[in-house]
Amino acid sequence: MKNRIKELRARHNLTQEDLARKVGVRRETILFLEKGKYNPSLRLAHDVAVALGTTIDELFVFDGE
Amino acid sequence: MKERKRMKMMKISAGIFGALVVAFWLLILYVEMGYGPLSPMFFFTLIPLIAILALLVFFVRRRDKAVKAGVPLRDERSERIENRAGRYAMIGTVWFLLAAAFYQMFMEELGLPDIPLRYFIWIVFFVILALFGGFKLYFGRKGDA
Repeated sequence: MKNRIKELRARHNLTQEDLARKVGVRRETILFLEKGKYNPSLRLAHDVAVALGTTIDELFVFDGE
Repeated sequence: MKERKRMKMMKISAGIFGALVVAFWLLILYVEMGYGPLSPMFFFTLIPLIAILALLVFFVRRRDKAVKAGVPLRDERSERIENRAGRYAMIGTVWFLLAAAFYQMFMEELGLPDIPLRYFIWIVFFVILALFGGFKLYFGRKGDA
């Protein structure tokens, strides 16, 4: 599963730390999310999408789509 | 505020755990003294004791600093990693105990040294901690996607 977190985070001028604080997780979680090495819960995916001003389906691209 | 409360609970738990470990070591010391002069081997039990206490202080201080800086004590990823590491450590410990039972069964035939139970408990304790720490480190780096 790929995602556009890094791209949208840069567009919003947010650091990983800022985004982590906004959604209430550790910075490492954001790092692993961006690398595509962690599958978040629906709740976290929603929170990250809201923090980046987008929707889950815009943010996450499932393989084969 | 919630995180501070959790941190306080974590400090209390760590304190109780540390006190229990020291009390357990003192109990073994007391039992050992009943057998006569202490053997030099006994002082090797000080290594895991100091290692456990030092690791405890190190991790609690590190977590405390992070919480004060606004980092949550736990999040969904760290919880997932800890649960998985705990599960694997438990399975690993069962295999270790099974291996120890086989050792006990065949040590006389193979001429292997007997390990007194009071030392063996320390070894098991250390194995559990090492397995949990190792798996936590491994899963923390590996990712799960």
